Amino acid sequence: MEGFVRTREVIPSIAWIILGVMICLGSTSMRLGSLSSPGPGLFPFIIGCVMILVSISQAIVYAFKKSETGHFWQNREGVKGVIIVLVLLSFYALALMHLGFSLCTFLFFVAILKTLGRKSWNYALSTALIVSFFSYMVFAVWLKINLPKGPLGI
Amino acid sequence: MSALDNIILGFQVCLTPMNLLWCFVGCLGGTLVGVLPGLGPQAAIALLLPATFYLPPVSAIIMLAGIYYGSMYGGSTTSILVNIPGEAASIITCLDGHQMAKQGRAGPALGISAFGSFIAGTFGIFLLAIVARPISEFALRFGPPEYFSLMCLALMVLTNLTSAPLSKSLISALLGLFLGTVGYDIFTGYPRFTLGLTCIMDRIGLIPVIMGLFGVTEVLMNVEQGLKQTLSDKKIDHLLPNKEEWKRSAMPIARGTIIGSILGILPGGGVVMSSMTSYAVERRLSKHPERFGKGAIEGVAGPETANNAASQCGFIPLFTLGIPANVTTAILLGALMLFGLQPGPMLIKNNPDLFWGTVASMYVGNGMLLILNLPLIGIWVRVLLIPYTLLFPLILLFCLVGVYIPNNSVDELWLMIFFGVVGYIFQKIQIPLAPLTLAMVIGRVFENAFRQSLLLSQGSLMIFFQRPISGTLMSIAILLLVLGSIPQLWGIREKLRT
Repeated sequence: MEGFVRTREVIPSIAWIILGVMICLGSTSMRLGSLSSPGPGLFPFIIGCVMILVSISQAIVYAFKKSETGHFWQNREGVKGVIIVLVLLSFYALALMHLGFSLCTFLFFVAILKTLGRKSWNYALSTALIVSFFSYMVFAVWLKINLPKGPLGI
Repeated sequence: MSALDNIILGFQVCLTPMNLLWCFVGCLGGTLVGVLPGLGPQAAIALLLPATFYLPPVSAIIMLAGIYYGSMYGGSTTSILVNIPGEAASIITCLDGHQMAKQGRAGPALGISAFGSFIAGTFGIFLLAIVARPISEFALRFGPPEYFSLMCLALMVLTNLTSAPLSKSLISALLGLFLGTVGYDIFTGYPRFTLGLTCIMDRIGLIPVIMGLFGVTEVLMNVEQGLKQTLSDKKIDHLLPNKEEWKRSAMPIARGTIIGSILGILPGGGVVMSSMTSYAVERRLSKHPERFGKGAIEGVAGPETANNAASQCGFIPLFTLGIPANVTTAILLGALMLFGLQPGPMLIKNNPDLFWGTVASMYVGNGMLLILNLPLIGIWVRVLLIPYTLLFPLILLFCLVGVYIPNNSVDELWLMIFFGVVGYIFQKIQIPLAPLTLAMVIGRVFENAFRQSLLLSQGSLMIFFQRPISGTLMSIAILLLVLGSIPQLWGIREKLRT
């Protein structure tokens, strides 16, 4: 992984330059106006320009920086965990309106406890049941928050 | 009204049963979330913010302030017992606090931290009462150029204080300012950078961003690294420091109060700086500096007092100028705006009950923490024993529900997940999240001040330098920018030479 730090810094710098350019282009598609009569695009345009300047200076600084070694990811297991959390969060966002709050929360907990917690089915199912029951009681019954209802009516 | 009348008004507001209850709930909830490893005050406020939506503004802000200093206290508990700082301000506490815990002196460490915080809080409330009104009256002279320069200064201070290189902090702040522009333009109603998404048509919601950046990101980082908890297994039998420990802590507490109060007022983030400075001062003044890092109570008393004084005095720029002093007060600023309040010089005049009530509640809240938390230490230790595999899905559930509730919007859940990923990547490439959050919160006000200044000066940028207050603030901001760039430029020079 020789040169890791340099790569880790230069690639984002290029990404910031691209983002800066995109902000500038997006701003010019609005009315930029003038300094005496600023339009909606002027302020973001200035931000985009400054971002390009700062990113270029950062890229230069890191291009000169001494290379160091390191790893972007801590370990394979850790990366797997991050992906699982993101997939389950996405599942929750996708399924909430269809399955309802309680069922969604139940499935979310079972999946997390089984995959990341490596718990037994008994532990995962009972914990998920308790959490979804109490969270429903707190949010929907006690705080009277209008949470999505699924096929079970809860 | 005199300062004393104002304090009396504050206590009248704060000591109503309902406000006392919410102050208590805030302190307790804040401490609970602050105790949980890996969750700092920002995440604590973000997680508990939706719970305040159903309250009147005064009660809500009292509760949020309670969450703030409650979580600060909870953070130090985690630092001392588990050696995991809840946030940057508690890093220093780990050094000697955890060593004390390992030596079986966790009780006095926690005790002195609570007493120090209470003493700092007492001083802080008087300082607030004395200086808030003159500052806000002075700030009435501020026009858009002064506000713009002040916000530039706040961003510069913050970008200089983060541990990341200046260029990264600047990029973070610029991204925040950009995110603040997304949505309808206030002057023309033109939709900007909305990508046709209805959930960001008005503006990008603060709650999904904060939950994503501070809640989801923390969980992702912890899941990847795996929390290595080294919970002190020594029994906590006595919490009150003994006579010798009091003697050694008295001056550090006094100095910490002064250091924290002065640095806390600085817009841009004095909390971390104050705890670091206090530690450095105590170590330098100590006759036995070699004891530091090995369980010196001065190393806990000073920084813990200083960060509490700073966090309390951080409310001064927030309430008087509408400028947050750090990320947590930036989130509080966002919360005030959600309640339809505009912090700034007029806040004290228009909402004296809110301002003085909150100030008094901080004092009462610090007292509550002192009385409650010492006996509750046993419970916090048990909380720390909850396995992270059970804790993090609960944190995620809080995030999901907290983001969904305000607008009943699934789109905002996606926004939260998106910002969770962004925060995670930023942590990986060492881009600080604090400037982004602060800049995003003040983004709209910042842009308005900029555009109004240009309209006033008919397009001349010199308006920011020609007016005395604005010119002074802008000069300091530029000086900080130059000073902050020197280490990076020096690196290039050295490289070229070799």
